[in-house]
Amino acid sequence: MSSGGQNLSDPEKKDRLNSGNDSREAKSTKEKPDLYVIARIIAVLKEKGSLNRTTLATSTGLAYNRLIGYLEWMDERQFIKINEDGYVTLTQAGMETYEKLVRWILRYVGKVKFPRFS
Amino acid sequence: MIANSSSSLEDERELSAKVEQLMISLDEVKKYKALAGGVVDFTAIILLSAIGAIFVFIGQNLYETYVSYNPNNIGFPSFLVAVIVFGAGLVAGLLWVDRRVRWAAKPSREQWKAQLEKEGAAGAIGILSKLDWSEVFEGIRYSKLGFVMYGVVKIIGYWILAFILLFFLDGIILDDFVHELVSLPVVGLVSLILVLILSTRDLQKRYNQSWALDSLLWELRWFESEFRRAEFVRPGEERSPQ
Repeated sequence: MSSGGQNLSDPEKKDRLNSGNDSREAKSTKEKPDLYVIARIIAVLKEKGSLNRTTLATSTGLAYNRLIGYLEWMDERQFIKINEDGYVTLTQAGMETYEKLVRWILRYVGKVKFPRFS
Repeated sequence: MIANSSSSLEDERELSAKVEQLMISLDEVKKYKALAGGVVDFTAIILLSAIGAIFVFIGQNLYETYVSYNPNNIGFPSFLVAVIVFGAGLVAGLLWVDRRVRWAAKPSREQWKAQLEKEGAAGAIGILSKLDWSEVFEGIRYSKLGFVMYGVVKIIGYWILAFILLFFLDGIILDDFVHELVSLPVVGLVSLILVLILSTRDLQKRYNQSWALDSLLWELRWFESEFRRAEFVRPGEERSPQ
């Protein structure tokens, strides 16, 4: 669960993230990210702290290439930080965004009146 | 590691609870949808039982008339056998549909419960984002139809059973002891009224459930249109318009 190390510059990060990556996956992630996948990544990072990408892929049950596409998307928005050792850490912004989404969904789903089926 | 605030943990728990409620409602819809499929089976079983009961009744009367004629026979066994044959068919039909309904939502319930328990709010978001809403709406409409149709066929089944019983009572008791015979339409009408009176609670329940399904459809239509806008937006940024 160690993180530490310096943050990488943007081009370096992109190189790391895209190494062995399917660029089409990253492209589709950019267009329409899957809420569930991002929520899963955030939930795992929240629970376990910093993780390397392979462990994160295993913990989230995502294919490595797919995870990389999502990490790139999240990194662009500063929801996560990736250090030089390739460890991924959730940022405060990432945490707040997740909490904001949970509250937002709750606001709507909370208004739904479920009928009682007897 | 970034710590969760207690309010966010509460929100996450509340979201999981709400999604659980939603999924319970959708499982109910699945059960009612299974009723729609069961209506065809149930109708077939009822028809076969009615045909079986008629054959048994006619066959036994023919046998008693032409093979073992007994002037003292008042016809009790043939009616009783007809009632038993039809009644057994009705019970078998009800049990068959009940079995189908009970199994309809089981696999999905196990799946979403496990997801919610394992992943919490993330699992709840996953469930919501993976729901096929058009299938959900179609399912609600279909289940409403099935629910009403099953109720109608069940009432018809009870009506036939009540008719056979009253016909038997009319033929045996009134004819043999009072020497009066009530006409068939009257027996039919009386048995229908009797069944409707005895099924009042069931009819009331069906009426309420049908309204509940309508209300669920509208509530979920509204929620789905809002949920389409859900996205990860940084605090302070605005959500894109629909």
